[in-house]
Amino acid sequence: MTEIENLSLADVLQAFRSRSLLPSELLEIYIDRIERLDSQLNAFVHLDLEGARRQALVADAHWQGNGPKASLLGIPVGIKDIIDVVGMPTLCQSAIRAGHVATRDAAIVAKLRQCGAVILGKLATHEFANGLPSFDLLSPPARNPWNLDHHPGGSSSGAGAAVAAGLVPLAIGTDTGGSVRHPATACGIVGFKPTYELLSRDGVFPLSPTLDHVGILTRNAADAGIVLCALSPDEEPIAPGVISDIRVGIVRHFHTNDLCADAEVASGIEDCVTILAENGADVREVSLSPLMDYFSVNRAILHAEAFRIHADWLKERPQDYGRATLESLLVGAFLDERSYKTALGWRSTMAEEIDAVFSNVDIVVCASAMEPPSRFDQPAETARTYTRQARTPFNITGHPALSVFTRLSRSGLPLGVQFAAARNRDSYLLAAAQAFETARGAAPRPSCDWTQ
Amino acid sequence: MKISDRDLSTEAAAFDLTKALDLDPQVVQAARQRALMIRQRMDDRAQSERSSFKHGTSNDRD
Repeated sequence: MTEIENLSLADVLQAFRSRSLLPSELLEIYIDRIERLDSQLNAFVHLDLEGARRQALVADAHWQGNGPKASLLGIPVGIKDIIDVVGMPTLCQSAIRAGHVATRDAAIVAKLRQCGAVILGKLATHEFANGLPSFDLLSPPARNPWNLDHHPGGSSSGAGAAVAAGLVPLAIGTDTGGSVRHPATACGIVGFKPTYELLSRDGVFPLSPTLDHVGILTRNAADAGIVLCALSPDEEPIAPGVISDIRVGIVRHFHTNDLCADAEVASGIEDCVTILAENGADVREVSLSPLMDYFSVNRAILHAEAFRIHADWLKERPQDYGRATLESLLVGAFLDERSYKTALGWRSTMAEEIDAVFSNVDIVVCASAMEPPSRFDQPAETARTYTRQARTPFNITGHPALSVFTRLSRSGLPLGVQFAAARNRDSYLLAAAQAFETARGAAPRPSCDWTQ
Repeated sequence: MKISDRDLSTEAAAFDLTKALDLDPQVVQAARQRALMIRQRMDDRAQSERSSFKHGTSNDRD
């Protein structure tokens, strides 16, 4: 029997509906896991247990009553700590923000509350969602629940770790160059970056406003679909797609020519393509610009915009930044205006290129990470994983994209693959991913039994 | 978001800034190196596009 903390959102909502489980009971199960596991995992940087219990009791009353039920009524959620939650600090993992307390909810948090979700606390990030996992910041970096010696991906590190470890069934992160999809890949869950601006960035501390996306981390694509429909009511309810109806474009050159992926990562991608083909999908190979062109454009825009946002603090309080963040922010100081404008120009060309691909295929399949999750004691290797990845194209172009589990590596770490679709086909993308997950079979969960 | 000419530093201004802040030279050099790699890659693509246009091909992958 599935443990309650591993139930899908659909099953949890059904259990609420049938009154076999109350939101307050579910919340206590998650709080118990947080109290047992998070001192080693470091996923949460702030918890509001009293507030969450109060919200859960309100949700209990609604489920026990006869009135209409909000779409996420009683579902606990963790929020990346660059997103404002009223009454909670938004420290962005930085001494620069010490003492900050949000005076209002970000739009995404207000929407979650409107949908009845229970806001449990704030989740670890890199400093200002920038830089790397670092030990010179306010809090230690979150760790990977599959193996605490390994990085859970970033910058939505706490979100990935918390969902994978069953500390919360839903987390909200942000993705500027892959920061939702990276932890999802490294932790073996689903990280979904919707079409640009589908989810509001109001109340989110910006990293690079023209690239920043608010995203959803859940244990599977069906759960992400439930959340998307709740947060964006224009989206149609998601039914699993039928694989034989899907035209798939596989972009192999990203991980075979442009960058050379680890053999197990590449095998996982081929496993995915095989599953899709064997279930009747029309699979063809497609080509895009070299991956490093996308990466350079993403970084030119990101560093230029981030430098502008931080310019005053950099002048006044450089000592309050961590070393990796400082180095990343200073890159923008060395990028001239011509580079930024050139990058913006290519952005349009690249968007047209990917739009053209979607006139012939329904989804694109490509690598997410090129390596399995890195070790904390190999910082150079960890830094390399931030450049050796295939997530930046869809931040530049704004197409919806997600990471989904493929297999475990020989050393027991999760590997993933990326799916993308045409802009505003977010529901379709999630339905296709759900169909793949059904054909693939349930993804394993980490045991979180670290003491043995 | 629009970044105006004066918002973005030239390399000389960047060095002035980092010098004035007395930052770790290794951090400054690492940042500069990363910026140069980004600019180099973009210059290479621009060169490739100019070359493709001159020779009548649509792009370097088709």
